[in-house]
Amino acid sequence: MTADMIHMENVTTRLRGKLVLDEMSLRVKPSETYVILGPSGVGKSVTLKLIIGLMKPDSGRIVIDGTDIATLERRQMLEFRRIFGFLFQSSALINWLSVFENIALPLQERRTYKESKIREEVARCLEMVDLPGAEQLMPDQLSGGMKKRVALARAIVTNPRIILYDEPTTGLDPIVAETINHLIVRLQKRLSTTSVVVTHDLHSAFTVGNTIGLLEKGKIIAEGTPRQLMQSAEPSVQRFISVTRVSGLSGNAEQH
Amino acid sequence: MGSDPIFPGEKKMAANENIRPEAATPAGPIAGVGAALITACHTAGETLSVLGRTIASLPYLPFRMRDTLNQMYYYGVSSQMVTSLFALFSGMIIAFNTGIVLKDLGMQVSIGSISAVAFCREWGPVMTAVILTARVGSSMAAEIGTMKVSEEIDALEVMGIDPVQYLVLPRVVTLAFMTAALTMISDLVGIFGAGLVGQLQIGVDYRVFYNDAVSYLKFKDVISGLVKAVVFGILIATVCCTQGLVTKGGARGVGKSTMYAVVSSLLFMIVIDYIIAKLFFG
Repeated sequence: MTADMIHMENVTTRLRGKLVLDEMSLRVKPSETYVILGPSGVGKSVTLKLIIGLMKPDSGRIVIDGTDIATLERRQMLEFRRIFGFLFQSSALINWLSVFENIALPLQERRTYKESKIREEVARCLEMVDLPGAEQLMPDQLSGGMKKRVALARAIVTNPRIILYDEPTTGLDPIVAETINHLIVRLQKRLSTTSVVVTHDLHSAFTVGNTIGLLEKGKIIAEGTPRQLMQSAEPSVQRFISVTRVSGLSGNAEQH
Repeated sequence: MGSDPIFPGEKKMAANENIRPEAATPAGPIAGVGAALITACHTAGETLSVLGRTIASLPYLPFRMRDTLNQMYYYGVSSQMVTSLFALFSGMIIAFNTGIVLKDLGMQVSIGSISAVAFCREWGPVMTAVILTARVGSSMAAEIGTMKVSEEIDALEVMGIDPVQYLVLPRVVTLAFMTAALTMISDLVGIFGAGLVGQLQIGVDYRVFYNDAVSYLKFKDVISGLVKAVVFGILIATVCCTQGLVTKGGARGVGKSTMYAVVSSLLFMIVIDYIIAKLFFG
């Protein structure tokens, strides 16, 4: 049996006294795209921040690729995070750096590549996200969708083993959102990384996910392939799906 | 991981919890004073923590030289005109006000020594630091605060980049160096302004002014002013960057952090000014 790439075990987290995650457990296998689905405010983004060590849980264990991250010191944690790529909901591009400088930043900080190699890598990643030649643009010259794609290029430029996506399609029009979804699927196929996507967008979840976990009341209340989830008799699953159902979903679910 | 609440992952929910103690509405004046003291202690603690990390990051300064030089140009060189202009008129004001009194006493020749000592010991570093707090410190706090609320600081963390090393270190080194450099220029320009008023309005020949200034001014006066300038520079950058890093909320949070940054810098500065003066001349 393959070891889990990400294993959260009985994780409990409170924010300002309010229980957000209640002994939540989660397992993500290597090369899998796991989607955490749920309405806004249930702790999806908190889960991602816990996985990458931006927050610490009140109790429970988080093991990433065999390492319990609670055992890492601050400096070790900074080093350890290099196995991750993270796509922020807000894109979080450094606003005074150009597209090239933003994408090159993690490589330049590692000081392992020469400048010419960094240029090649940045160009390769921009090509992958369908933005060739955008190196000299500044973040304020980019549309929301372009920012997301640049942020995605920055997330993959270091060839991470795990990519975390925080609401990748939120705030985008349906066409751009669809482009981002297909980009995630394409990158997944090309890079074979382990991915965790948090979203409340049912269509996005069913398009990109191999496994979907429905997060509610601080726990994963249902888990399975998109097809299994669609066919689940669990009332809370049916309620969430029926409320957020959009046209064309069944078709997407059938693909998985 | 330590107990510092500033950086993500350092403490439970640090990114989202109430980092700056927003004291509940005080029940009375005593509670109000208590709340203010707690806030001041928190600010001092956070600032010391960031200062410690900045010092620990000093070995990485060679890797940050390009950033540091850019910052020096961006913040330092562009502040030179305003500090010089301020110094020129301050020197003229000091000479004018003291000159009138000294003239009545028949001691107007002392205007040179008074202006030189006042500028080198106190007026030069304090005036430069106040201008840099308003012009540069507020800008640093707002810039880093905006990065914080738009998740850019988190983005650095997830890329494995230490925000203190990447953002704070170049700014602290820049202000330590530039405050001293601008203080030296301010001292010279301010004394020149005083000499100008002495010559034109008080009737003290510039050679007399110069001889009086040089004969009375001691090396210790100049050094104490420069030590103050370096300490003020480190203080302003550390306080303002720290306030940026603890920003929460949106635009209002950034505004609040900037205000805290400027007020805290000025308060800490005046306290440290007294301590350094006491150490040198007490």
